[in-house]
Amino acid sequence: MAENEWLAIGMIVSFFLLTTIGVPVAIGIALSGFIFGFLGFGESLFNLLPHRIYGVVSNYTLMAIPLFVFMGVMLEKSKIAEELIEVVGYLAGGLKGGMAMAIVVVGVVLGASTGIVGATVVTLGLLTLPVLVRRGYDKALAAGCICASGTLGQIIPPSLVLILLADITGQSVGTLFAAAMLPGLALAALYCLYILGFAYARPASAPPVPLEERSSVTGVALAKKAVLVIGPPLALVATVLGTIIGGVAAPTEAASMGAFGSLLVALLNRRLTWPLLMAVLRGTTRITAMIFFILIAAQIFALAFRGLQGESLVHAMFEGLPGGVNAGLVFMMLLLFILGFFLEWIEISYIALPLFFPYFAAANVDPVWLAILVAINLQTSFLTPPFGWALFFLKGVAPPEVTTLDIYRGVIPFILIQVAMLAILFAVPELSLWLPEVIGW
Amino acid sequence: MRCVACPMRCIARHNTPARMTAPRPSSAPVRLEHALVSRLEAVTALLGQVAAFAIFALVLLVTTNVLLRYFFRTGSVWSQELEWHLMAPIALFAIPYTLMKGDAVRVDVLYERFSGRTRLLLDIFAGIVGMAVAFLLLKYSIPYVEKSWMNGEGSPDPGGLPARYLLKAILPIGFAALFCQQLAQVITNCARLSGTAYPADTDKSDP
Repeated sequence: MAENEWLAIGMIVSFFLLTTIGVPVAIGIALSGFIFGFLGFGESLFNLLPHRIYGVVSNYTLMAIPLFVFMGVMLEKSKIAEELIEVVGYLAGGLKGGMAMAIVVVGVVLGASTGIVGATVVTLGLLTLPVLVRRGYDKALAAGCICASGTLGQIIPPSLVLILLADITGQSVGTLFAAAMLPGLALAALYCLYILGFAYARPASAPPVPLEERSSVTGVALAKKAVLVIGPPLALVATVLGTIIGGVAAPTEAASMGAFGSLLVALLNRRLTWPLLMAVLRGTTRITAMIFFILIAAQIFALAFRGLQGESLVHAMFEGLPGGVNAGLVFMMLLLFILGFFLEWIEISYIALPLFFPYFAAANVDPVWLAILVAINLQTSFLTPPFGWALFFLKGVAPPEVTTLDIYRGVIPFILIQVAMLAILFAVPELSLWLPEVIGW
Repeated sequence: MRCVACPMRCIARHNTPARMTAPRPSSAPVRLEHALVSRLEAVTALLGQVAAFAIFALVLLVTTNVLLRYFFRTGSVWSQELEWHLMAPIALFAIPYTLMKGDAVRVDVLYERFSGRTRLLLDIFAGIVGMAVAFLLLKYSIPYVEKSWMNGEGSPDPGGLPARYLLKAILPIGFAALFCQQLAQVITNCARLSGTAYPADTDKSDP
């Protein structure tokens, strides 16, 4: 191997070491990029850097990030998300396992409207886990259900992951949103099936809301509340999605409508106050900055990797695999899955994926299908013990009687569902490609 | 409002009343480095405010543009351009602010098992590296802005915003602020290591 290829490998290894010992990810990636770029190429390489960074901070599509984050933080902090969970729990009625399924439904709506894993898992966990445990639900089932539903927001559009993947693969955001729709809903359905099966096998571990409690709320009152509470966020998500997939508005514009809409919803619910708005803006600032710091630092790494001819290295690696493109796909999926143990999805998307995508593009793999496979893979990696992010988030807010081991045990069935979904999508690409085609993208 | 306990943490962290009223640990005069840190963090906090308001402006501006276009079929190039002109300060000014709030994304599997001292040493290392990175970014971005200024670069589209070099100048300003905030954190962590400041805590009150 040429010296430069060794340097490219050294750069990746040093980045891993730095982040593993706990150096902030953005700093670790910038450092390894600068050092190995200087070693292998010299200073002139980085003259291009400001232009690339300028490209990141003036990118029209990436502007959707602060807008969507604003919408999510607003729904969370104005407690609208909280009420949503309450009402859906009542609506589930006497169904065994109904409350757990309610969480899946709320996870879908909430995840779709915020697209932030941390926010959804923490909100769901804080509000529902104590209730479920108190009502006699199996702790592992409750924990697994919350983690899985919370991460589902990464698949159900509009999600930040899909926006970034669209940017990386050069596809339109609307196409990816449409492509992710069916696999995302299929996942939600599989979760519900599992919960039903569990409730059927062990009814005592997944009891319904007690009858007395349900009968204390009249049907009319409940229906009224359901319309008032579920209606606005649902209308918000439908508007945002509809305008993007329908091609009426660019994702950034739709995101701004979502952000403004969340402001209106909070105002109509008489929740909008000056301190709330300030808290939402501060929260949005912080989440946005975390994402952009990594995006900017990743430019240094990407530039150095290109300067060191890392792309030909990746190409050579895949060439060496027996079994051609399919083996390459499986290999990449495994690699991403393992990377997901250590890294946030932003780094995986922006650092690892650009290294692999050119190879698959050259092999005529459909980029839309590939992007959805990657998105589901990333979502799975959030759930995987011992390092899945969703597990950390939930442990952070769980009542003390729910142990880390409960959470680990609880997510395993859901991980199996995820893997099954990946296999199905692998065998039947139409599942993701059908909807975009029908809409005409 | 000033925190009595330690000038090092008086900016944007004075929301804990107990600390506000706690007596100063020693009767020594305010140390030079503490005063420096509080000045640097004041700048960071100000930039964070700018970023937060820019986000609000972005929400209102993009919404206004969309509504104007769909309902009145009007719009202007400059207001479209202003949308992404707001993105640069949001992204670059928010980064030092987020660091000040202790929100760095990191893998904490090992980190949370380290002793307090090891963590401080690691943070100091990361801070110094961060300063070097910010310095390099600053160094490379200055010629970039200079070139834009020499050419008198503006929007290539008629009716667009002039003086694009001002927008590009946000890059070096943001990196300079990043350098300063990292410096403040290195000083703070060194002071903690030598026992002249409060131990590290991160403000998770409004994530």
